[in-house]
Amino acid sequence: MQNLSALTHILKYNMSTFNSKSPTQTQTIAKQIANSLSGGEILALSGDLGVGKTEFTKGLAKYLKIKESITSPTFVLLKPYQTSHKKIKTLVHIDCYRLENTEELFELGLNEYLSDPYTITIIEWADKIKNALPKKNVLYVNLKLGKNKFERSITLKN
Amino acid sequence: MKILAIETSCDETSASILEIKNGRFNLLSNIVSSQVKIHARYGGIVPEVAARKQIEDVVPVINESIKKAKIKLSDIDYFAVTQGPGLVTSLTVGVEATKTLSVLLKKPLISVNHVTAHLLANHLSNHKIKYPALGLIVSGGHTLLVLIKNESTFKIIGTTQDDAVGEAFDKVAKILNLGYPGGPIISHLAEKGDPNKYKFARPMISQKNLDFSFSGLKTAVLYLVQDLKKKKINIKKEIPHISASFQAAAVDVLVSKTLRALRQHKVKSFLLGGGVSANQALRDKLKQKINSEFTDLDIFIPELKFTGDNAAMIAVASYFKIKDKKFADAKSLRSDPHLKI
Repeated sequence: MQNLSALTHILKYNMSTFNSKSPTQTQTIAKQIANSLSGGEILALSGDLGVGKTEFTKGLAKYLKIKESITSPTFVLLKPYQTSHKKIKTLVHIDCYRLENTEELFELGLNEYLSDPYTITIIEWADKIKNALPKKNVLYVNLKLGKNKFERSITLKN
Repeated sequence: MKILAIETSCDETSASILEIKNGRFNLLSNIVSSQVKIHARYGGIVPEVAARKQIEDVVPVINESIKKAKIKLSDIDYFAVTQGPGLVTSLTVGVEATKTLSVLLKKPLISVNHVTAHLLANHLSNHKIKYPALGLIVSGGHTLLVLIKNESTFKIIGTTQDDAVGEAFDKVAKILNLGYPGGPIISHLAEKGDPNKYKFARPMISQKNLDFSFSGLKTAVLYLVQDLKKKKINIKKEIPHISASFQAAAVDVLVSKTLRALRQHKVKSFLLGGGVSANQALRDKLKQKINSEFTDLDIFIPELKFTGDNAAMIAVASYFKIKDKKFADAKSLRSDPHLKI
């Protein structure tokens, strides 16, 4: 795994890829990425079933010291969590897997969360609503199976 | 007493009329939108947005429930509705419709928790249920073990740490290209498969807590499919075996955690509820295992028609709130997508 100390810089100017060898490592990568967030960002996750999107979200939630366990929002589409973080107050976990229409998500009040500087929004299956996402403050995170079946390659782009 | 209940927490629109005489339930109607042949006023186009479909369906479904019950709207004594949890937009349709009826007809309003209503659905059989009881709720959105002190006091003692079990069925069906909803398709295919052909790990089964995890099981199926593809094995032929092996693993976890909960908490009954409780393998194994270890325990499993989302269970649940005089205020009642037990 690469050194993530200059992550903010990487995110601003580059695309970068991290390799994870386990679900725990996927969480660790998410935590380190979370360290560079200041609130108001949107993390747009993409990747097939079983690549670790929920695992990534769990890592982010741990960094934000969320007490509740992060469970799949597939059926309710959107779950907000209160954090114990100083600056970031809310984590909104969205899952577009079951989504048939982008409108549906905005009817759930997505806009209010997207424009809130104290909220981090993390969206699983974000490729399904790509066109509806704002131009700014979006970090694209793609997860893919790696060389062996336990490996994942995680690519960041903004 | 007659109750009209409305349930719109997710995809289904449902209305039911329940009559209660001397403490016995007499279900007069239980209409679920997918069963109603509503004329295609929109040229046969089915709107994709769940809530929009709810708006279209809610009035015809209520009308149908009254017609089927052979009563008049003015015969209703109480109006009940699902307050949550669920999709906020869908929930709001039911809540607003019910509030309107309650205000117009000047009859009390009752708000109901959808999750616990799944368990209380077992009262529709009119069998005497002794409390305290243990409840297992299995659906697309929930996997919960609940301690039930009485009809209105519930406490969660175990829950999924990631995906709900119904969601795991759906996602495995997706991995195997089987279509939606995954539960019925997989359990049907599993009948012709060998549940021991593939050994899937039973997630969290050896952990002493009462929590579940199904995300890893889904990933295990994904890995298996990839391995089979690499070895150029015909996946189509293996699908019944994969389905049976996956189902066996999921059922095993649910049953063993239920038994663990029963050993930890002294209860008189066991109640099952939720969409996945339609799964025959789960029904059979729960009955068999609980019966052999806890001979005095009464087991309640809902009739198939009350396993999925339906308004009859909301009506039953509201009856117990009426008994406790817990009414909602039509002016202030709002849907709550994250309503807790």
